[in-house]
Amino acid sequence: MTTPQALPAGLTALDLEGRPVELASLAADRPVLFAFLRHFG
Amino acid sequence: MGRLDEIRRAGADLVLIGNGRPDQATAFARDEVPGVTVLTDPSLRTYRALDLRRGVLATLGPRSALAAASAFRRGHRQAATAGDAWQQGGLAVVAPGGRILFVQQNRDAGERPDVEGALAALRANRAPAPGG
Repeated sequence: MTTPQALPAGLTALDLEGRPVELASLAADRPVLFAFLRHFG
Repeated sequence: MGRLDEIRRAGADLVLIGNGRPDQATAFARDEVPGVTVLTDPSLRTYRALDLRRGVLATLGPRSALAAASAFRRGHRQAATAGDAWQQGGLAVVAPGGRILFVQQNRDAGERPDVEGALAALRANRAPAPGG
């Protein structure tokens, strides 16, 4: 495994409405701790 | 103080990302983590970008089985998997500008989130530079 140094530009996930959200934009003003789940539930 | 409060006091927000359908994410957000931002990535692109592990052995290996047995003894019962059964999780602390301050790439389903490591990275990021 490698350890990335920066989020790739344009990397998105979906919000609850199914709309893409760019992850870097969420951290535009302050840091974000992203917790990646194995699955829901 | 809860972990969420600690994260916010360290100057950060918390975002959970799963990999099921948006309707499964909605149910999870409503039932399990109200007030926390939840996203989902069924394509797994975000997981691959962080080189998070995915595989059968990581999910069904001995450490994962022990963790599952322990959870079962504590009364946890997993419903149908809402997402990719073989995908492992992890943590990433991202600073403005997209710089990654901390990454945890879980080896298997039994690995716990290293919240202390993430908080340490956040606090170090907030600390003034020496002499500054």
